[in-house]
Amino acid sequence: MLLEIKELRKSFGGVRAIDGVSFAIDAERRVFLIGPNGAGKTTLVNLISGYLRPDSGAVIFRGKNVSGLDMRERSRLGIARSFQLVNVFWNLTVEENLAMSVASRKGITLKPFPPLRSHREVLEEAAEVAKAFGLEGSLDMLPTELSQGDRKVLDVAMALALRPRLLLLDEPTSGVATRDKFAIMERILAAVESYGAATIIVEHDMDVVFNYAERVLVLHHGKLIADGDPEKVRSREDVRSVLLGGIYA
Amino acid sequence: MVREGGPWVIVGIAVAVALLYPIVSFLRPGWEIMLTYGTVLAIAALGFNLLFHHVGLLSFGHAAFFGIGAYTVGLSAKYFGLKSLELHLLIAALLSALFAFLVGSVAVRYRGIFFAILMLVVGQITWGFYVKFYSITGGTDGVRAPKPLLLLIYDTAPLSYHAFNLVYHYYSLLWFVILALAMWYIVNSPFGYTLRAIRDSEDRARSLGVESWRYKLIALAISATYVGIAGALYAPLNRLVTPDLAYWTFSGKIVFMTILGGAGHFLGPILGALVYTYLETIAQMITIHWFLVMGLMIVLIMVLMPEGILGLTRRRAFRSLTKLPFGLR
Repeated sequence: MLLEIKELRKSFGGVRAIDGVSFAIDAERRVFLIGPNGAGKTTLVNLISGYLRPDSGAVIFRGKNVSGLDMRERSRLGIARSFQLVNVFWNLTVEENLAMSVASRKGITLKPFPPLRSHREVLEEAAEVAKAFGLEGSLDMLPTELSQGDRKVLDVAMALALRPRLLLLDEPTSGVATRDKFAIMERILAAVESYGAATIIVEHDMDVVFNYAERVLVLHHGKLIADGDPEKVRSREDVRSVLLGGIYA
Repeated sequence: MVREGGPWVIVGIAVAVALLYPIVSFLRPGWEIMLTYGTVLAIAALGFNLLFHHVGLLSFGHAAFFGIGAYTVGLSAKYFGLKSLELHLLIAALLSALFAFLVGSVAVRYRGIFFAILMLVVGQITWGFYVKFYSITGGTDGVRAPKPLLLLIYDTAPLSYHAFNLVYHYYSLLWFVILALAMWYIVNSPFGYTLRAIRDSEDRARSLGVESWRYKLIALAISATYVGIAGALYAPLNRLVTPDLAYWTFSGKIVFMTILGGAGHFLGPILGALVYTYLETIAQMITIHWFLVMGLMIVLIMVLMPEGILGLTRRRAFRSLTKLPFGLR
């Protein structure tokens, strides 16, 4: 089993953000995590990635309980993530952003000599990742010079450059114009699948979700209320009425 | 990449400063020593800027490391009779790095104003030590720094101070070249990039597997080592080591020099240190209230050129003024 979540709980003050969530992921590649605002989606991603520690329950990754490990340690084990708000290194170029991921994976970030530019293998791999995401023409640009869609793609590309087993994407198309969402998602999923990583994607746009999902998890008030095949989940009355507002009925 | 200030530019600056010494000495005797002070302070400013620009941590306590370096020379000469400056430099570098590791293991876990104030407190504690433990340090009278043995064989004690200043200028320049080159490699290395990545987004860096506090601690230790070495080089030049060198206003000077030259540029701290040294001397010549003049200057710099002197080169007006004819670049 790639990932097992067991009775996970997390509260902020009196608010139960995640309340006894359990599920497992093995062979599925495109698992979409949906739910209304405040359902606990980002909290769940934060708990799986190690950005937050759970109050109770367990995150088991490839048979190992990683609940006590922080984000850095989980990253080393093969869990990578992108962020809801674009979180890149704004003063480094696209190539350098990607090179940082590659350098970290190769364990050379502490090296004071020679210059990064001399590590040809790092730059070549950064260029490969950029090409997989359609960013090869922007290598010398700063993230501030990219469109919002390309910034989101760069955010995901940096996570994938770590060559993770599990990739957590927190709203990879948020802030992108509606007409561009499908194109951005196509670019991301094509690249992710070429690297063979399993993906949990938080997404709000139901058109995008049901177009690409292999499996859908539905969160509501911190509880997992539905889990399974997209068509079956969509057909459930409680999901339609509570989460989808009847649009997909 | 830090594109400016490559190895040849650093060597070029050193050659220029080397050639300027006899010229300034001829045109305005006595002013040439400021070039040496500027060179030594440039080493301190380069070290400070590793932490300030590349990690994004502002320290108001770097005078503590400068003081460690300077007092290493004064006290080890006084109590142990050590003459070799290279040995002094080695001890100063090790003590500064060790002290940085000690205070940094707590301080680097904080950011912004909290880090700045913590370092200020550390600096003031070391200053208090030099002032209060006068039986060891000589208190406010300080401790003499005699003319040292250079390169393990060259005893400068018999030299007149005029001759010593000349020799010491080129000796300091040698260390400047070595340390500036090393710094250029550091900021362009994977480690240097990782520091800037942490500065831009610590959360993102952690998500890539980077243990950020460790990198910040190492950066602080390198930064402190540079400032400590600068302090050790400063001592024989100044001949006297006093607690002022560890006082918070001296930390402010290092910050001022770096901002004056342009913290966002590799060469900025170097230029800032050289220019500052002359500015301070001129201000002291004009009025006894020279602190006021320097304060006003800081205000003007922040308003008129917030990116420092080298920041002007990015401005269109400056570029058009300095444009070469016939499309030459």
